[in-house]
Amino acid sequence: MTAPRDPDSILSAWLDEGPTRLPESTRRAILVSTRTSQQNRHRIPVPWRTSMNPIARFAVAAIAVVAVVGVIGLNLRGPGPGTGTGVGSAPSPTPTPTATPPASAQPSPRPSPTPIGTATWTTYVSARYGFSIGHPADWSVTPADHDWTFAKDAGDTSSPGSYTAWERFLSPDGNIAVSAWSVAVTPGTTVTAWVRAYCLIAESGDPCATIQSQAVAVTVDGHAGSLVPFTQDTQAFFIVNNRMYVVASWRPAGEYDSLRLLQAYLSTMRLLPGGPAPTTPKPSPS
Amino acid sequence: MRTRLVERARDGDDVAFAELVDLDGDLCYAIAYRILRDIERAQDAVQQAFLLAWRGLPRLRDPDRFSPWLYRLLVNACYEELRRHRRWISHVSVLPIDGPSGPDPTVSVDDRDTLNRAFRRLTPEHRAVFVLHHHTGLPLTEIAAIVGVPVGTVKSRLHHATRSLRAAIVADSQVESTEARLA
Repeated sequence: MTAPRDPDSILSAWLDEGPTRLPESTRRAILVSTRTSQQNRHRIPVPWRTSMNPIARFAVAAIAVVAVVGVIGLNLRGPGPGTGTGVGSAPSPTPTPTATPPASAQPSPRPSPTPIGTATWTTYVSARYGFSIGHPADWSVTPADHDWTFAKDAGDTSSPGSYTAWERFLSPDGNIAVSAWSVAVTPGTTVTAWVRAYCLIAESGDPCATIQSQAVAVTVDGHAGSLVPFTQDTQAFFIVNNRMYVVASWRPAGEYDSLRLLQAYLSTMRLLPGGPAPTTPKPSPS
Repeated sequence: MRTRLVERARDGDDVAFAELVDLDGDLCYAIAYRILRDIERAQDAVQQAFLLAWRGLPRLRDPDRFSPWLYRLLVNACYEELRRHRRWISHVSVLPIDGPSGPDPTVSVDDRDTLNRAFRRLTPEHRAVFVLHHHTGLPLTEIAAIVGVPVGTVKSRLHHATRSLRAAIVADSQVESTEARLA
């Protein structure tokens, strides 16, 4: 007769398995990258927690509303007796309290119609992929080190190779990343067909079958495309001159204001007149 | 001692930062591996977390909060790794043999497969809470601060993750027992 097995002891033993020492090669890589990387010293110190929990967020919003209502109330009452010139001052324009966090900040359950301002953004030019795109000035940029290909990078599950095929923008707190790339496609390829093939590489079955119904029309630099809210990320696709352009925000649409952030990135995107640098890979999928 | 190291690193001393990597690197790697179940991705996540920590250190007001702040960066790096590689088609992982933490005879090959499959079905958020609590032993309040959710949410995620993994083992045992009876 077999002794009964204790699931908790199995679970605990399983969790304890695995490496416990950082490989020397990784340690060295960290030290090299810190030596070659500048610290962010020009910013005002902020608390280390960048995302508030819902209760705290509600409390802050409530305080903001109360404060604004108070200011409006005081302005409407005009100056108190003996405090001014006797001339009633009109209520000054008061900023409306909005839930408009900065691009990299707090999560928002649904996107607000207010677009994220891009006036202070910096422009990044991708000669490799044939576009320029804006990004918040304090986000770090990691240029692609090879051309993205459908065959190698769309379904790469075992290595970080696909990672380095993107022009990648990372928020200072590391909470959200946006990446952009482009790839030649076979003439006649539609956004819908390509996105479906792209989706099927990632996850088979139902999610891809209904993908078209979730897509939202979007215009980028005058070109029509689709914005697709995947389960774990949000991506925009459009084809110009037999080339698919993709911009992805690696968060679900409702998290970290991902959708609005992606729209802000798209609003700054411009295609380079000459197209990408002449290292165009083979069109795919065929 | 540690606080002083953080202060020095915050002032741009990369030697002090290297000592912090020595102090925290092993635990960060152990956490990242257990969340990601992949050696290469764990290494990438740890590297990313330390790089962000180095860049962001001047903005860390309280040096005593370095570790939880670093864990937060690490967990976010793990989330990004998982989301970036959401394309798990069939991922075959090789269990690393690393001294005393190599394969435990308590865990059979079947158990390991079952748990690996069940763990992959968990969301990144559930995985992180489960590992931070059961492997690292951090209190729930600390985990809540690290992952940026209320304590109640941490409890709920922990309960769900633990129940799912236990259920996987129990279900597997029942299948084995039935097969043994039929044999």
